[in-house]
Amino acid sequence: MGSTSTKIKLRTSDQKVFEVEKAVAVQSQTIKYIYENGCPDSVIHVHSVSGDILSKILDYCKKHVNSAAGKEDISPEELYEWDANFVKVDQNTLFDLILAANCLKIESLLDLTCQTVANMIKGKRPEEIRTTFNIKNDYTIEAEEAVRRENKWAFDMLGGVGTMVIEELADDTMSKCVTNAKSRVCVIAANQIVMMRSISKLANKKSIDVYKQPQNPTTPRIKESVKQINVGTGFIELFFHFKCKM
Amino acid sequence: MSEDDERQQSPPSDLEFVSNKARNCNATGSGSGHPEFQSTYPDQVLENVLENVLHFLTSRRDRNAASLVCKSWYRVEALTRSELFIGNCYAVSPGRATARFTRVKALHLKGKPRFADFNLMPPDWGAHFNPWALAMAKAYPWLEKVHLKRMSVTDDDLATLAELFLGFKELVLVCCDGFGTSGLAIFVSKCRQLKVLDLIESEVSDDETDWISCFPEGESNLESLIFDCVECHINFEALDRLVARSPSLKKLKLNRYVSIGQLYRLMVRAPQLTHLGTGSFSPSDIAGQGDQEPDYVAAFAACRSLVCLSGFREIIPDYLPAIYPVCANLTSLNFSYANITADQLKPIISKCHKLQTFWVLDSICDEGLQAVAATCKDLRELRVFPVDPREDNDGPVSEVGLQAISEGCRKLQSILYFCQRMTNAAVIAMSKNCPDLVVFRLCIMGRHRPDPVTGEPMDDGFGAIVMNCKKLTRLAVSGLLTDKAFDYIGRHGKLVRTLSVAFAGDSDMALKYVLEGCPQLQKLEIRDSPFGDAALRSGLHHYYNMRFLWMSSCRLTRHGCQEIARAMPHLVVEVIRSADEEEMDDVVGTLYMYRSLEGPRTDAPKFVTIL
Repeated sequence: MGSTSTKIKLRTSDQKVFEVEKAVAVQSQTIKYIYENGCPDSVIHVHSVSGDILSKILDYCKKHVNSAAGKEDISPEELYEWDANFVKVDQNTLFDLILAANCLKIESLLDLTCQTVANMIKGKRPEEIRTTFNIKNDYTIEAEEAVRRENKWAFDMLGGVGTMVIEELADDTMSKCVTNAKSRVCVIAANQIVMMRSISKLANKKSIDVYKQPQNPTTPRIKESVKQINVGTGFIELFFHFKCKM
Repeated sequence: MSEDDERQQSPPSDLEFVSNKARNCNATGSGSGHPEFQSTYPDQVLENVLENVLHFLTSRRDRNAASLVCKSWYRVEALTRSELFIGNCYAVSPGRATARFTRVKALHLKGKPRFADFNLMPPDWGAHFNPWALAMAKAYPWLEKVHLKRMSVTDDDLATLAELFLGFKELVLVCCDGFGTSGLAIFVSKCRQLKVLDLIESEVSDDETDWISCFPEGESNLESLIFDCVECHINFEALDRLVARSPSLKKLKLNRYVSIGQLYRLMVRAPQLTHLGTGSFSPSDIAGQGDQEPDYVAAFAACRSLVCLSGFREIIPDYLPAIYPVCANLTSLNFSYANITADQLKPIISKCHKLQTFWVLDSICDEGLQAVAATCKDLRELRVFPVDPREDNDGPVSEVGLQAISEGCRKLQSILYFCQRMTNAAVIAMSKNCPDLVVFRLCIMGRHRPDPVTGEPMDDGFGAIVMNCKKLTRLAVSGLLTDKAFDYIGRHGKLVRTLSVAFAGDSDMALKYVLEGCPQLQKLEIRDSPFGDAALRSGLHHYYNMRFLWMSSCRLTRHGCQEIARAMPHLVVEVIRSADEEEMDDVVGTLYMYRSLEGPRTDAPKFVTIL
């Protein structure tokens, strides 16, 4: 009788102490290892995990242990739904859960939480992913275009908005590209004046965001609220972001 | 044991963990303190566990997006990509691929363009697997799966796969050549974990090696063994023993050297099969006259899981009734080697209510197709092949069969139909009755054949297809076609990715319509059509968006192709000469051009000039 009701004490980063059944606690491979190799009566410190998060995690472990042991009458579908609700939390909490699951080595919880984040990525364009997770884009235009090109040409990774790079093409070819483009068009041309004229005609018809590349190509691009295209001397790269239907 | 005591010793930072699940993070037994728990910004946290997260992203579209988020995501995406698809082996070098993706487990690689299947490309053109095999051996020793299509694979390459990849499990070769039975023998003998060996429509030279005997003794992990294209005798007793010790075997497709009696023995051994290729489906010559015929019906009846049936390579139709017990469960039936009549087909097809894929010879005539239409309401894919692919005025299937299919099989998604005559009316009917069509390939075998009823070109029929079939991505046209047909395609075929054209069009305008109108066009293959340099120029804005363009026996000149090559530095422009052409001819026999990250290839044979 004794071993089934063995309790383990866990102390969190914010000094909260939890007393849990061994069967529940050893869902964490980390805790299991320490328990089996350390002093079974002492308190196990879980440094990276706060009380709130550990509490949630213990809920998860308890639910899964009970379901597996048949202590709780819950079907696989119901458990699946329970899991789905378990991860309906704000982003910060979700990431804390991932960190903790990784730290405590609870594989099923790690899979569940990572799958949840993956679901937040699926179907999104790169800009949307950045917005969702507040990520800064550190690509330069050229670097981003090189990746897009490699993805598409070599590895058949299609889909999404692409930047078409047009170099040194005749006017009519270029305007065909620009007309057909569903996406951003990056134009690098020697004869800017002629090119500007043809693009400016299109600019009047469509709503266009104009990006100006700084002279140093290694710094990330900045968007300019330029309504008119100024033709200057020197090397100018123009980027048109067409709001076309996809 | 106050809390203050515990805080004095601080262990290594517990925030510095990596996403690798195997590493221990910092939870300890009693006795250690800890630093303040720091809150991390979501994106930093995400980076730490990104590897775990990206393992759950499987679609190429999502992976594309992930790699473009920022540089660290690019790195992690590259680390977590386990399946690599390369649609043109010359678009990227093995080195570049292995440099970016370092943990690949499965490789899909395609080589020659499809028109190579029709002897339009001289042998030894290229698409050698060898440089890839060597690069993979260095970069991915844990590689498990290789799928190749239209590549040249040598016996040495097969040896490499078996010897240098210890966990190799799956080899699929589709339309490949360059190897023989001795290569197979080495491969199967050394590849101890092999689960799948699928040889599909590949040319295997007969080195008179008994490769079937070379499978290692003991229980085998084989799940799929497909060798119906191998044109050599095999050691049946060895095959019988192999099947007996392969409890996981689900797919078995035999070549025509396996008689029906031998098939029986194998079926009795493996009633768990889901996919069966029956081999010859006729008795061997040496079967005695008085021998008791095995109970073939019972053998088929025992295969309760059978859903896909093919083979029938030298069929004696008398034996067909043996397959009655499995018809009701079949989702795929391939009779494309079975020269049977409508009357022989009807009792079979009338039982095949669940059929979704059906390949057949035109020997069944329009009447046979009508029977298909009457029963197979769930049909998604139909292919009708010609017994006799000559240009003739009479053929066994016609617009009557097509019309019947369109009326009976409303869920049709893919059709390949060879015939000698076709009317616009039937094609228009199909466009209206089968709105789910994704693939429409009609091959009217005579050149420049108009609608035999109206005398008109086939423009309106194909026009209706592109107008009414809103999901269409693949189209093959034939018959008498003017520029108007291509105008329709350019205007309405907005989702078309693959287009095949032969003996069609009046002028450059036709090609211009297509190149300017079809933004999704990826693969364009054209033969014997009057398109010249001006037409080629009209696609300059699009060629970087395409996988390839093939044009043979058209009206291109070397000068025109040179212009393209100059205008588009990332396009590899190959002019391929046939045997009777001189190098300095201005007329171009075959043009094959494709975008590439690498520039011109170094393994081009003498008859290829890269401009």
